[in-house]
Amino acid sequence: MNFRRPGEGSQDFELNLAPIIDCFTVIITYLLVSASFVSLAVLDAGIAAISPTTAAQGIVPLALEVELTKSGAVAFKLTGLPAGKEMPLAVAPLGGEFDFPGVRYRMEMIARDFPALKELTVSADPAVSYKSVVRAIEALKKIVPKVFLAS
Amino acid sequence: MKTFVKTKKMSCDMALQITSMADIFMILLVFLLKNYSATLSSLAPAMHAKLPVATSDTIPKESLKIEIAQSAILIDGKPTVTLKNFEFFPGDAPVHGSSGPLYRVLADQRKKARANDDSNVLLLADERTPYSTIQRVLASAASSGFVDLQLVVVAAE
Repeated sequence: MNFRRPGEGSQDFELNLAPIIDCFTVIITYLLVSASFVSLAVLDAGIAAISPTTAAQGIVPLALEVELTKSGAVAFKLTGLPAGKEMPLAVAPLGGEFDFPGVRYRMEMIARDFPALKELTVSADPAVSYKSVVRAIEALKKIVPKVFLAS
Repeated sequence: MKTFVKTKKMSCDMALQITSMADIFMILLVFLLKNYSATLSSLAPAMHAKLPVATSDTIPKESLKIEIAQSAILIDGKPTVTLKNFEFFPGDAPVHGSSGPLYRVLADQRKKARANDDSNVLLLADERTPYSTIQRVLASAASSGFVDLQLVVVAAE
């Protein structure tokens, strides 16, 4: 027995796109509102202890502290310096600001002279801005990947 | 006089061609979904702190969020310490270099995080924050057991 209505099996039909467009409009609006157009990244660092590290035998291990001063100069303090080696010079400010390319260059020289140096600590004057600290870390991490921040 | 008015009546049942519109929407949707990142939207500073710009391609890892804004320090979005122009109030005296209220909240969070052994913290600090404030926050984090820092920055092009 045939229950088929006339015209039911016809291949000639149109897909109703209006509800699909409605869904798309809602989804696109949500994505545009919640989308972040600024890409964020992180600089990994550790928190250093305040007290200097000393070995049990009394031998001071080689350690570097990079200090950002209020005047704009960057000092390099090396402890456990081998005999005959000189303390690296500070990087003078450039136009009253920190000279970060200069810091990087000085760090490259220190890393060449002391290949055993695998980590460093960054400290700053209380008045120095976080922006300068981040820029210093950015410059130093390119040479010594393990950086600590003094607390 | 010859009339220029067309005698043919305009049809009222005009159908809008939405097939091409659906195509455009589909392309837009695919593009937005591809660029959508849930991590970044959750990392946005709650108090509109101006993050510093730096070159880095390290992707942030989900962990405890400490935000330093001009008027407050927020831990996971909750205001914990009130600041005055990025600095602690003189009444909030440091105890072994750290801030008391900040230490208590962080120590509590550390107990919760100890289960999955996560010692990471995400630091979202305004670029104008003085190092004295950063130092006290770091001391509080270190004394409560958070020793690995992730300094959140705006990735430079």
